[in-house]
Amino acid sequence: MRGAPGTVSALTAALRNGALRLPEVIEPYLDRIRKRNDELGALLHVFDEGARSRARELQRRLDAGDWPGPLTGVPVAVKDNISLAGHPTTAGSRILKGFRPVYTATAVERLEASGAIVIGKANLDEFAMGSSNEYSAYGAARNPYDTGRVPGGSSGGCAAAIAGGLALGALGSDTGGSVRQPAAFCGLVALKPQYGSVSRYGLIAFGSSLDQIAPMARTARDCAALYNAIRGVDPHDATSREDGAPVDVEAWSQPPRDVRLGVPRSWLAAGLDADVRAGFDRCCARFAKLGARLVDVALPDPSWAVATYHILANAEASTNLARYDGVRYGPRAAGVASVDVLYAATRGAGFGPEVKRRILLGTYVLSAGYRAAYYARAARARLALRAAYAEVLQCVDALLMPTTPTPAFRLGEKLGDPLAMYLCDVFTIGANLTGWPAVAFPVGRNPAGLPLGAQLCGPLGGEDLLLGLVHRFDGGEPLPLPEG
Amino acid sequence: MSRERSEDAPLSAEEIGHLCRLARLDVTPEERAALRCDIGCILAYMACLDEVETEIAPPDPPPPPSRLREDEPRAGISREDALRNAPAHDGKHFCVPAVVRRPLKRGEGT
Repeated sequence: MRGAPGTVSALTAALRNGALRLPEVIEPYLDRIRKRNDELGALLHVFDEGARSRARELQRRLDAGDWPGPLTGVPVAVKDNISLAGHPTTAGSRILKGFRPVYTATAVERLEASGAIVIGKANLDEFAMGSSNEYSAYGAARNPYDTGRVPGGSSGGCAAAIAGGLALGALGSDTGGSVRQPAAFCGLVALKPQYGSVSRYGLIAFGSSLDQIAPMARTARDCAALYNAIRGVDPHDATSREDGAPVDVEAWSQPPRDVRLGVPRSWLAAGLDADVRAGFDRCCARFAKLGARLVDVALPDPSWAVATYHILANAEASTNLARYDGVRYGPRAAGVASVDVLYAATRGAGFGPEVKRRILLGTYVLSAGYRAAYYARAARARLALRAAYAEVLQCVDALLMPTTPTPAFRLGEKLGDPLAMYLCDVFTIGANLTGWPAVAFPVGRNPAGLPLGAQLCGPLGGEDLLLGLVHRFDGGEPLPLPEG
Repeated sequence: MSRERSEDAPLSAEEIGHLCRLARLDVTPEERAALRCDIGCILAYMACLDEVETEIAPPDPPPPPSRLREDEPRAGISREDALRNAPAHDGKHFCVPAVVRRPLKRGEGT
């Protein structure tokens, strides 16, 4: 990979001016996948031949003077809970082993229409439920910066693919932080778009009021290019929305003199890793040097968001996952004599431990006698949290906070403690509950070499502001990839 | 239903069994014990929601954000595609174990 363009923008520029030809671009990626994917567990399905023939097709168009689009030739990984017609789509679950969707997600269609090459489907925590990628039924993914550590989750395979040099960008999904937390652990930029900015058509549903398909890349400029390709209203998704002009990070080349960034100071107290804190302080100092004004703000205790989220997301998950019953798709339990036994046995054999936990939690909070105490109350708490966040945004333009309380943790470290795993998302969940956009970005590495991350969050319609600020911060330069 | 609870497991074993029946989900006895403990811990954490309502008042809920497209007829997926991933089908229908028994004809079963 030495000497090959390390960003979307560098690659597309080299293809456009003829300095590179597409087969030369794709082969090193396929070669690297062959060498490293077994170790990293990043991709569950690799499209070697598909990627090669697509590269040839795109090169023919380039040779004919055509420019297919702003992502021409960019090798992209797609999380395996996003549908590609005719290709395996497992959502990281045994219950969808062998499933091949009959239609393609709108976001993937748009990505391909912009010239991108889907190089493979990426590993994930089963049904995107998890923060370490260890809950995948097809094996854990590993962090390229330290393969004894997790890449984060649930879009851990996407993050490992980019940081491992197997792809230049990825489409993940973010229900509670599932692209931002892996971005923090693997030194990447990831945008959780505002709810509705990207069509969810073709995304396997987890928490439908929170889910968003979300781009990941190495710089804000690259992340913006992916986002611009997939955003916008889609007749197949009634919650999708048109959100004005595309993001233009170049328009943010001037220092953000008048921008006020709110820092929820009380969140930085107990439980925050010292390296994460030091990285965040450096990030604040750099934004101040760039001309932003940093203002302390008071946000509700983050534990409230975690509790609210896990009631609402799991209630929605238990409902959404009712469709996996061994009748229409996936494997079916053998030798059963009645439909009720068929459902329960198929689901019992098909779902892993975290998915079972969440289905039962969701069932509990929706069940007669407990719905008012849990689900209805969490729905009200979400409105209260939204109001509290909106109030803070009357005084500042966006919020700045660490993405995660710690850098990447060791494989197995949190597997025995589901609550500890949930608290990995303590800073990211707010953007899902409010529907706000949020961008995670790298702010350097700790002394052990692990990436550290920070996050900008809000306001509604603020994707341009957030990515523009991160572009000012990274200057178009990615965090160096790890050796390997 | 038994309401007997230990401190670490605010759900009884019977309650976990009831939830599994509601969710149409088989779990092994080992899984059941772990789930009882884990779900109990998580529900205990959720008690912090008590503070939210007393400290910040929720506003009126906003209208739902979705908008509907025009109601126009168009092709959906074909029957062939709908059946493509089914573990058992007869070319026209999904097949499942019998739900309703065929009524006995006169003279049958006697």
